[in-house]
Amino acid sequence: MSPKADIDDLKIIGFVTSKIISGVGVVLFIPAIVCFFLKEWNPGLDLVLGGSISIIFGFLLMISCRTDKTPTWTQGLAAVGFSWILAMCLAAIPYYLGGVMGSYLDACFDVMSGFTTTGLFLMNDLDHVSYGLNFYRHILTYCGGQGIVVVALSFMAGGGSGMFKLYVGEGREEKLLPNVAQTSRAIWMISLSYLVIGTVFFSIVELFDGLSFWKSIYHGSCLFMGAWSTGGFTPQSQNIVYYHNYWIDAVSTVFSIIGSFNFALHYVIWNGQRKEILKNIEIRSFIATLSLSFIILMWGLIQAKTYPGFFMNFRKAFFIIVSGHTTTGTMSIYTRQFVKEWGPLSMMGVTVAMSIGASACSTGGGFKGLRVGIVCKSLLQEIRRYISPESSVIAQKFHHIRDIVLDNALVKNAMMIILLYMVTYFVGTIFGMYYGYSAIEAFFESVSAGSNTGLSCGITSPAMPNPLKIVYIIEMWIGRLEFVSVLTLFGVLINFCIPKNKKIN
Amino acid sequence: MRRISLFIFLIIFFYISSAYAFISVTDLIENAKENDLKEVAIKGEVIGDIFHKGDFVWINVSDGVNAIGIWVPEKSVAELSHPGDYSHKGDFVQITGRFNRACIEHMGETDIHLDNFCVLKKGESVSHPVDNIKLKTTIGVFLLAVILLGVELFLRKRAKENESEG
Repeated sequence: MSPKADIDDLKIIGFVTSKIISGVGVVLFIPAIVCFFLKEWNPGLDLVLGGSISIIFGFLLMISCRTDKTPTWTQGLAAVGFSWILAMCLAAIPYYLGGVMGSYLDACFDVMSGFTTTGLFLMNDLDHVSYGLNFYRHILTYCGGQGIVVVALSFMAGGGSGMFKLYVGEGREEKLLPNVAQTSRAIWMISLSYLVIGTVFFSIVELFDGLSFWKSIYHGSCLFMGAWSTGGFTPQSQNIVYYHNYWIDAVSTVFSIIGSFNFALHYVIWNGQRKEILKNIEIRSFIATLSLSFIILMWGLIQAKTYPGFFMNFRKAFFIIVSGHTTTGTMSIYTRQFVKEWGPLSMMGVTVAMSIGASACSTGGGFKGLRVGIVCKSLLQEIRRYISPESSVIAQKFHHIRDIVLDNALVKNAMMIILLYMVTYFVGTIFGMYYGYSAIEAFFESVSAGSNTGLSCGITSPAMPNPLKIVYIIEMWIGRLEFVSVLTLFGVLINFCIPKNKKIN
Repeated sequence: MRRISLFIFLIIFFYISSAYAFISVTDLIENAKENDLKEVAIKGEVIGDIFHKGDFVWINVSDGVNAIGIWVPEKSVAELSHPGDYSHKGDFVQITGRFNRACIEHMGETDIHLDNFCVLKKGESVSHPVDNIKLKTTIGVFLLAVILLGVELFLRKRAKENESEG
């Protein structure tokens, strides 16, 4: 791209976006088929209309921006940032037409929450929403977990040389295979295999609870998609509390943890390198930070005398801390119980877990275990340097799929991203406090949105002020894309809008 | 004698009414510590599914904002017709029972153990008639999308052929 963004740059961004939008449009037809199968005609029509409009919009964008040029890094990253916003606006059509949302903004909020695997929702009367539309919520979060660019790469585009830039723009840097289209398909193969396994597990538990075969499959697949994609959606308003079954809690916990692992880790384990799980820095970091936040949470619960007996405290605390740390956001308690019964110390423990989040290149959010591991290793390296003789050379390595030498660039990059997340959490907290919520509640909800977790202490509701909904949408968006794509998009737009004669070189 | 009977009836009526003052599920959860282990009375719609656990079942009752699990002997739910979902308005019930903020029997769940159960209004089917304008619009837009997808594939094929010729 030239130093000054011009119309050609916008055309390339538009052309790339058109392909991603068309891919998202095709996805909308999957829940539409479910609707027609269940004779839920109105939501089915809403989904077909939404999908068709997305495809038409994508086509018009493609025609008006047609180009043979390969996107540069800047154009590719900006296209990803733009695609997510456009996809949100188009995928919100079925929600809005279905009359289950208070406003179009609420519909956009729920779609962004789904795509980013956050799990916060504003949908009205979820318990009476059609099965097809409810399935659509889970499809959104399942596809969002893999990434909408991965969806487009798998089904629509060929995976040419420019496609790696789009893949990276979605907060992923690791290629499982040399070709990015093959990598996308490998991610889908892993996810679909687990979809079958997870649905079977959840369905068996539901069958034992007396549900019919089809209902068990429906609840099983939705619960799996919510857990694996670390989205935290469930088909009913009570979330996981609805099932009154600790086996559901247990299976959900297991798939949340598996879903929060790096796809590269999944891939090498699938290829027989099982020892990788013991050596990987992300797994070690996850265990360490999970233990630390769990201790804080247990301390808070015992101090507040929330539950009688150690075991009950342990059960509730372990489920929520895993849900928070994997950024799944499934709730085994009511939202207001965080504030009314768990107390500030417990909430802080959960907030710490949410802010760190899952593994890099996974379905989860937060500033990621890999970066925490790198920063901790760097800290250890510095301490060793201080206590060693001046002449000694201290080199630090860490293991992530392969041994990697810790250099300044890696540490700087990790610290910069962590800092940006902290700023995002802080800004969201300030907005929450401005609208009258206490600091701890505003911080909890802001971290939940920014880390794409979805645990709520009760702030997120249709009655929430509209500006706060917009703030949380932005938090979810930039948190999921890990800043780079969104900042690049803003950079391109600002660069384009500044008149040439005012440009500062 | 009649006046005395009426007086006693009124006292008993008001005593029972105050003892079982109805509370919404939302208020119950919001003030869980105050209501813990107390007899409460709620009204609401039975939603979703019925989960069977031996001689008992779990039902979920919603006040429209929040829902709570009720631990019910299986024989008590025989008179339920429909839990609420997309196609049904669920049975509207009145529940009295012991509220547990952290039920010891159910590993810390927030629930109500049923004492008394009464269906105030039977559930019913809800129809969702198809809007003709929506149907025609959707078919039109869908056909346009299919045509444009075809055009896109054609253009892509032609571009590939030109590329290979060039």
